[in-house]
Amino acid sequence: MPNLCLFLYLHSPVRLRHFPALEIGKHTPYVDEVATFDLWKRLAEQSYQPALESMIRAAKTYGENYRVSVYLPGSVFEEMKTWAPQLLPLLAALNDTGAVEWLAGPYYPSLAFWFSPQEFDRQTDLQQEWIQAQFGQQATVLCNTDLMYHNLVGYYGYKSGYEGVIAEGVDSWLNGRSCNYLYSPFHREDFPVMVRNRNLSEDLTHRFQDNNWSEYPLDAEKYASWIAGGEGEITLVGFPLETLGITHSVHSGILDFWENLPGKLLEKGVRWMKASEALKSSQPRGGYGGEGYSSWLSKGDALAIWRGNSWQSEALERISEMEELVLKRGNQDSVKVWRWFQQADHLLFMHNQDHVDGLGSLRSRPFKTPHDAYICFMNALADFQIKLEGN
Amino acid sequence: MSNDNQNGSMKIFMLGWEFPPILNGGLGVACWNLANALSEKVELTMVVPRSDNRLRPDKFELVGLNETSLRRIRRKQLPEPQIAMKRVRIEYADVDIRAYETVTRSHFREEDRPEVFVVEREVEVEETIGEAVPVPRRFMVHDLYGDHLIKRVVQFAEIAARLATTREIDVVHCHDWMTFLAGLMIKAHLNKPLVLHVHSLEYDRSGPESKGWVYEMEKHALEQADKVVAVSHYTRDILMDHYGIDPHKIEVVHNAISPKPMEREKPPFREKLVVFLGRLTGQKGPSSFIEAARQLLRRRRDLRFIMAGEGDLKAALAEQAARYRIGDRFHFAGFLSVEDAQLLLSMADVFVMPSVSEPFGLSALEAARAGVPSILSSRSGASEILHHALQVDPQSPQLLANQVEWLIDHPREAQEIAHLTLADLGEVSWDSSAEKVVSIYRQLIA
Repeated sequence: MPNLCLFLYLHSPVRLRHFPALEIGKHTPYVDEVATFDLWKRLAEQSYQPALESMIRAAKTYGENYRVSVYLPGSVFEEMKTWAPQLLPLLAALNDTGAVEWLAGPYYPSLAFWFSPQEFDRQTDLQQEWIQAQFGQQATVLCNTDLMYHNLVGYYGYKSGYEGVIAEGVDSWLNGRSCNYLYSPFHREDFPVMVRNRNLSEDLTHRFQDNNWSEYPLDAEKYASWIAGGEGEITLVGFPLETLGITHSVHSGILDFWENLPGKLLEKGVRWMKASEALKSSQPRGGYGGEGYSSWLSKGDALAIWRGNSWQSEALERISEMEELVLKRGNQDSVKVWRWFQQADHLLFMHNQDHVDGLGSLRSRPFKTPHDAYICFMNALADFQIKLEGN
Repeated sequence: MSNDNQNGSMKIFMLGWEFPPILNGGLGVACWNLANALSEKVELTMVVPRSDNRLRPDKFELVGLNETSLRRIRRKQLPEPQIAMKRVRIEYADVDIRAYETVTRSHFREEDRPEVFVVEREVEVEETIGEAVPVPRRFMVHDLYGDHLIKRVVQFAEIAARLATTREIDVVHCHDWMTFLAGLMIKAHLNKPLVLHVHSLEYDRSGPESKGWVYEMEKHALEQADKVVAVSHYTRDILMDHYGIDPHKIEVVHNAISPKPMEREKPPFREKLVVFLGRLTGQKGPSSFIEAARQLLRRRRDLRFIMAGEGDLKAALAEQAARYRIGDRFHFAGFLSVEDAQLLLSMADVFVMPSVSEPFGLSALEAARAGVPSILSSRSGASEILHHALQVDPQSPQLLANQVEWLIDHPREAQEIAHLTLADLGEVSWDSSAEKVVSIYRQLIA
């Protein structure tokens, strides 16, 4: 019977104000505060609060038999402090149970790894320091934005001294092998990469409410038996926390499911592990990787979602070009703003693919069209550039 | 006014499509200003599909069909037509026709051919168009240029013609093709002299090769009209060369602009600002502007470009700018309010209007009034008035880039051009345009 590693991703999609061209140079705000407030209110009330409360209860009830691994980017925590401070005591209480492992990764849910390893370095350091200061933990497992993975991410994880990396499990890269084993980057066979069990994870994110699905309705008993009956050594189930309460509203029964799951798993004898424990629990079974990047938002090359058209390519190039200027001339605030612009969602909103896999309502484009997203982003960025050059 | 007694009793039934504050482009602005100026000289009723009670004229009657109960009008029978018209089914027409967007021919879809009726040029009559389409209780139009435009046009004609039977009318005056059918019906059934005012032609929107329903509609109506008013000599030539309209029937009446002292503003950035203001359609040449911007940004970095306006090409243009990697200096402003458009012009160092074919181009006059040196398409009506503005072949982004650069590098000459262009505006006024229109009316009822 494989062990279980449960991975949760906390993320609030970025809300850029519809920045008019006539305000370029006037340094008006970039963040749409009204939309951000609404978003956090929804996130907190419908999802994070009930989900976290349920997790605290489970941790107290089951003790060592309940373990979760959480990627909460520091920037998201900062937003939470401003817009949903009622969540902070819940995070602290959860941390106090000892059931949580906080994951390393970029401090902003950004594309830093793509355009600047140095910037990625700086952001993962920031994330480390923040976790240490906030939760008193040393983060040892690396997770990139939206589980974006490339052989170089694995290699980076190894070189930077992490215990392992979490990645999306892509069929074409697994090439017939089970996702329930550890793998490794190519040419680094001893360094573990744990891949997400896409099928079991998407049973929750994609199919839970689908009444055309043959397994509908899904209850905790059935789901626990699937995990217990799986092959291999370790099952990584991971999803954005808003799956509980927003992707599937409270009326879908997802929160009851969530409440009942730990008990059912325990009955079946499934052992829970934190990410770092799971990564040490067995040996990697060969190289994992392939063309381009994998991500949980894509079945193929994830580059297409964030860099598939000219709007995205230009936006990303502009961000990247600013690095030197920002670090040389910018103050702390400018660095923060630049990082805010780096967030993957800005580019995601410019995609013009027919469909992006697994984008919930929360991450749908807050603009009418992809080119509107591009235009507003570039207008705001031009304003920021002027501010920088003026300094 | 000395003409008051002479014209005071002249009753003009005018038909327009867009009208402030519901605006898509220059047409509504021109109609509003002309109607105001005319209202000093004649008794004017203006009928439009949609009016908005935020703007109420005090000197003429404005009838918005959206705000008018049509219950009584529906039952009106039109008199037998005195000019023969034939009802035919249209061979093809695109339900997606947008009055002021370039129609892409490939968008015609077989199954979308609407069953609408057109006046045909043959003179034998069997049925009148008056019986073709039932008149609704209320004319509902949310988007003036939305889907089913042609159906709206036909319906508008039916209603306007019936409305006309309830009025005393000396002359019917229509603005652009959307109202031409209505004008024709009133002329045919009520035998009133018809003036067609041309602000824009299918030729301008879709090029010299353009044919199709709108073109046929325009050509037929213009042939039937008693007088045709062209907004420029440029348009007059097109009417003659491409529509075969008798030159004796055509009068040129330029648009104008009301004088208003304008302050210059400093933009909140160091770079010089080059501005484009117009609908983002092929006709306005926006792509040449982006191409010129690319060439300029390759050789110098002291420039910023703003493209204001909305239109069917927006996505493609944003793509072009991104592909050229000029998005840090080339900005899209979308549709601007009157105040924002003025603000933009007050900050501009150069105004550019590279239209492929521009019957007039009111924004060029606005730029001149704001004291901006301009580069205007040589194929435009505005350049007939703004003699001192630079002219450019709209097909040559390279020349456009060179001219922008020259103005930027020669600030004294640029300022001189701005002054002289502002002075050029002294030649036009809405009052003198209205006076010319009145003299046309007078010829018709003499």
